[in-house]
Amino acid sequence: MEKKEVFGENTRENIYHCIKCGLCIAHCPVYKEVLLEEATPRGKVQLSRHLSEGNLELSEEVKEAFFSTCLLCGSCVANCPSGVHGDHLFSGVRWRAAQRYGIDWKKKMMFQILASRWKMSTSAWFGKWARTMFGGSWIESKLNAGALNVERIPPFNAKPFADTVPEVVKPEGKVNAKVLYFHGCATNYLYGPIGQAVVEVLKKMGVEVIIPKEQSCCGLPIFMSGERDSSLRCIRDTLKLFARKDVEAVVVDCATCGAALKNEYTHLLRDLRQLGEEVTDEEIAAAELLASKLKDITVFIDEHKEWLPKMKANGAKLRVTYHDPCHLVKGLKISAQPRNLLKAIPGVDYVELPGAIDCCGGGGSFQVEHADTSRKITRRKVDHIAETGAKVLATCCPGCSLTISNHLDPAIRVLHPVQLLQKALNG
Amino acid sequence: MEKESMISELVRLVGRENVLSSAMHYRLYEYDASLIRSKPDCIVLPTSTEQVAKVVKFAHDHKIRVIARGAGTNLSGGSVSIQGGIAIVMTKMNQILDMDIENLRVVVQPGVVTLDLKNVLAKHGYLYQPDPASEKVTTIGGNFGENAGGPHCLKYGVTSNHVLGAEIVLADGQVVQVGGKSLDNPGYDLMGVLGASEGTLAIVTKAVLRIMPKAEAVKTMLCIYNSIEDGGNTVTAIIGAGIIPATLEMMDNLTIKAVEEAYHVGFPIDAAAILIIELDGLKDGMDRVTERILAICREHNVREIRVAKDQAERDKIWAGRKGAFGAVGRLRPNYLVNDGTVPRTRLPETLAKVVEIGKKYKLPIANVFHAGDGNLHPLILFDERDKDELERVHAAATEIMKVCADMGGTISGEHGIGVEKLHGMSMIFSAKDIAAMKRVKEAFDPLNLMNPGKVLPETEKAA
Amino acid sequence: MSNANQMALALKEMVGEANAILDPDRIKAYAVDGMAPKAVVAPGSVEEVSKLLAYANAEKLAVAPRGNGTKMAQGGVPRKLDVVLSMLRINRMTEHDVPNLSLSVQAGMTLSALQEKLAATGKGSFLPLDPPYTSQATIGGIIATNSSGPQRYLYSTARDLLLGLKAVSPNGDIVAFGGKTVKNVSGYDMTKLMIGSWGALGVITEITTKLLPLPEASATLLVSFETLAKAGSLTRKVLHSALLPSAMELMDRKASGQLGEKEKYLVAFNLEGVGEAVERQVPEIGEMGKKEGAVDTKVLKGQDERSLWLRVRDFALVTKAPVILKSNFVISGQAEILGSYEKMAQDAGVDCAFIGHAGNGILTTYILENGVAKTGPLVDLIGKFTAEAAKHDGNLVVESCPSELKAKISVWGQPRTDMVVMRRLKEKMDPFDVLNPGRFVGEL
Repeated sequence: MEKKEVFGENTRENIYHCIKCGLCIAHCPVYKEVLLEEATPRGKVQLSRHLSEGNLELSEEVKEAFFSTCLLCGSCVANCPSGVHGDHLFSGVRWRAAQRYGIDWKKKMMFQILASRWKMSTSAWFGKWARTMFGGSWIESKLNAGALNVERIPPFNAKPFADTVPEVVKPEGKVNAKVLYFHGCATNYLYGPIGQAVVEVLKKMGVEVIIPKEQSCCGLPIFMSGERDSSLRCIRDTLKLFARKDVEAVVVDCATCGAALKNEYTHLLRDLRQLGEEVTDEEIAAAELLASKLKDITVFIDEHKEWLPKMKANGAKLRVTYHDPCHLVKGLKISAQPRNLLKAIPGVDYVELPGAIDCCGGGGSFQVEHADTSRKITRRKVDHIAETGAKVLATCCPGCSLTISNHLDPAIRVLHPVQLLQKALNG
Repeated sequence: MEKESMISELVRLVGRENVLSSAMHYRLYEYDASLIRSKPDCIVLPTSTEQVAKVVKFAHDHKIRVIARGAGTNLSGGSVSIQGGIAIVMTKMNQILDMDIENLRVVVQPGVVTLDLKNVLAKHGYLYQPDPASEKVTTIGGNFGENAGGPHCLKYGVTSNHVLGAEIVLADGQVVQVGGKSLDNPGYDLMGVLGASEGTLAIVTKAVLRIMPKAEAVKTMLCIYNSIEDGGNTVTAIIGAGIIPATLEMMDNLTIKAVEEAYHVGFPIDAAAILIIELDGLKDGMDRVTERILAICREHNVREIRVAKDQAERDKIWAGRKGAFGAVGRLRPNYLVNDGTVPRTRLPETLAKVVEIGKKYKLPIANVFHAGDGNLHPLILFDERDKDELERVHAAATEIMKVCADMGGTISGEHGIGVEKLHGMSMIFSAKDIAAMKRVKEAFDPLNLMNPGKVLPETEKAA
Repeated sequence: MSNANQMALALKEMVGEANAILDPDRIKAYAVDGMAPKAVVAPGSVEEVSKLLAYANAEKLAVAPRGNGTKMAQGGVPRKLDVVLSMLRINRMTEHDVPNLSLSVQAGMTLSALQEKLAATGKGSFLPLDPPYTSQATIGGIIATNSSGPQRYLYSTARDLLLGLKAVSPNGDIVAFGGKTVKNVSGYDMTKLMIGSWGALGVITEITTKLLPLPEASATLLVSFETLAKAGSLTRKVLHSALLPSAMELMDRKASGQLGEKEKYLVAFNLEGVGEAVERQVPEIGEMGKKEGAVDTKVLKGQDERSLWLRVRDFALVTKAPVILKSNFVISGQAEILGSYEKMAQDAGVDCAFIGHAGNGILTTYILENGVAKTGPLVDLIGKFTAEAAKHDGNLVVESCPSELKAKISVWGQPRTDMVVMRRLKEKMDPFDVLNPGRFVGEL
């Protein structure tokens, strides 16, 4: 059996706090569909134990279990009464599995691209061009990327969002605060309007927004896949640009990026250091600084709602419901603020979504590689949304937006709460 | 029989996708929520009664042991294949088959998760009363096999009082119907003896449950005490005054602290004990009864009383209670949960003895209990990697069982005997009692193939 | 010495000469279905019961346990009967834990004597069972036959009340199961197995049960209807509401007449509990009744109330019905089945009265005339009744009838698939067929 340590010491300690009570099973979206013990967080913690203690070989089957029956949604972590960080264990196993079995070359290429800003924008441009040239409704409607129907993936932004805004956007009049804006890949290449809305709303609130041009991927999709080298590059690049004391906050519009910057960077750097990687104290301090400044955009707006200009009602009522992204509600423990924001918008008829905190089933590449399971989970979400009669589904994660909108009745729009706020502020 | 031939036969009977036999799967199905681990020889996940019957008949014909399991959250080792054999996992049989509200019955497959069922019923305004703390993950089949309780059993009884019929597969593969939707079917109460039989008599493939309209009104109170004795005495006094609440739960300081850290429900971390009292029924007179209860609490030095104003507050109180076991995992990595039950009136005495035992063996013990029915759950905290500590834990657990038996109580109120408490059976049963129970086992399972080695201790102890 | 003499001597030695009846003239009164035993013994202690059964087991004698004999007529004709074992001398309350609301009491005490004692102790409590034969029925008999009454609607039956039980096995072993605690999963639930086992698996010597505090207030509401369907509709509405009567009985015109009320379809509600709840429910159910088309409502309290329920419970004694049938079925079938039974009885020309536990799916048919005179139509009718109950997932049991009839009918109704297990249980637990051979389901 392999004697290479699978986990850093702190991470490994989690194993011994799992009392196998099984309460996590009730919250695992994959288990609901699969009903096998390997799909349970508890099962994976026990497998982690045996891998760590050398009682179980890291076989293909084990690797499969950790990739195909887990969305790394963090639902188990949020509900484990003993506070076991299953997600740290599982991504640790994925890392060793990736080292042993390699990562699919397509994925590896994708990660290389994500990790490099210029590579990313080039390929995004290329992708857009290719889609314009060779795509078209007929072809795309026949194409599936796993559970995703290609036709219903939003078109690439005409220009990456970062190219449509200056590096610093100053408000008119008094500057109430300065923030850094980490927009992430999704907004940059697919959801430009979200970025526009964030900047516009902040500007109207009298906030100076700094949008570093050199920013790249947060790295989370990369290290969730077990690829730690490229992800380290992303982390270091991000820290250089965003770990600053002179701003009030670092805001994000994507729950996944938020969880990465607030929770995962510090954990990963410490873990890697315990496993022998060269990580400096300064880097860890920078990660902690960034974590302390990180706020989801809805949290920042909610904390400073008095800076918002008055909004007028125009009589029309729009029924809106809200989906809690896993990384926001379970990872960052944020659920009230997006709702506060929505309820404060005149003209919004807010209705609570049954099962609002249930995972959307996307899980980044999970929906591409494990389409069956993903589809079943998304189906439940889509059914619940239909139950509410809402015309708009609001959510704070472009990943969730991508997944849900791909399967939802096209008459229901999927928007970031900040976009609704932007509309209301514009009258 | 050769393992390989067994596996290929099972594949033939239930399909490739429902048979597991890899190194990884043995590791996944070797445990439950107890400290015991032991691998099965093969794992099957049947999807129908027919498949269960075929597997059991096959096992019977080749004298292979079988063990049925649901979510595998058993606390006494009841779901662990200590003698190998085929683990029959019932999780895929998770359909609600018949919602017969008109007749106040629901028919379900055993793999239905209890809380899922209750949520469906709630939409119609009906309840299935048993509410074990693990209800969000445990299955009806597992609840029945262990005769799970829960806070509401003080007023409404335990699982076996609400499972009125079943389709079962006998040890030889025969499928028979026991009980049913109607009451008083003539004959022996086989349903009665199947409840709490921990899978040693038969395998349930369908269950008929009793449901009832939900209560008109509910009142939940959180009472905070500076001493456990005062809390315990309050419990006795309430029942003594002729009031039977729906629940009467208690938690001690160690548990309160763990729960607060895990869930932030607002329990005061300096309280010696909290009591959760719930009344349900018609709203008429409920305020007066509540006042009587609060007066009794005051007579016993209650520090603070909080009455839940709405469902959200009520849910918060219960979330704290239901997550209690797991929360103590923050204090030390592992726990062993005792399940002794004593007559309610002797609870404070018993608790005092438990505290002594904790001191004697130098082990921290957190206490959660169903104070109303005298079922204590001392949670002995330890780290299983420390072998010396583990030994002391077992010794302490045995002593606690003895204390409960000596108080006129019993060694297991709801978690089952399994493997863990086998050595305690002689504390409460004579050899003749056990011989009588063995005869029941022999009548159902003459070859001892169904979950062998559980519940009844070996023959040397019996007459 | 002859076998019979040997047996007589042995029995006298075990229980004392004064407690063994061997005189054939006196024994006649203890015959079961016309079959007289050779002896009647009345042990005074559990040890004596144990000795007796051990002896019977060794000598392969057939023994029938007995209390006051109120239900000895029910069941199949005995295959064999050597000794009737009277439990009347084993009749003490062994422990009454007042603050714990639990009680241990021996089999031979009558329920009515017990209830009196309980009501008079401390704040007053009661065992919430109200079976027929109010003044005669003994604890052991009630539990062995799983006997119950109208109040099962709220309080349920023995299996939901008993905490533990002590018995003597057919081979003489003295055994104890359960205990004083409300929850107990140690070992198999033998207590439940013994409840309703008709004395065929062991002789119950003592039970431990939970008690309830005496209710604060009580009232009875009688609601009468011209049509059965409307009466049934009211019971259905109450069943699915949040209201909590302690009893809900549906009876036909014959039965209500026999009880001294107007001959209508009558629904009788008993309401017990907190004063305010009783005061609310009486008029509320009355209103619900009116909405369903009730023609009359009447409220009873105090002695009038108690006297009515006594007559309802002991209806068998009120009518002296020679044939009593108990049908069980799904709850919603009550009115339909009662209606079908009425018609079938009419067509067959058999005079019947019906009282049902409307919220439990139990209906008792009291055949008011001498069944022997009309054996043919009666057998036929019972067959039809049984089929009707079976259509609603139920069965029919003959609670009493002339012995001659038993050969022609199945007193325990239709056999079911779990017979195979019951047979095996009996074989294991009573290999020499000592207890009540031939009298229980499947002639076990």
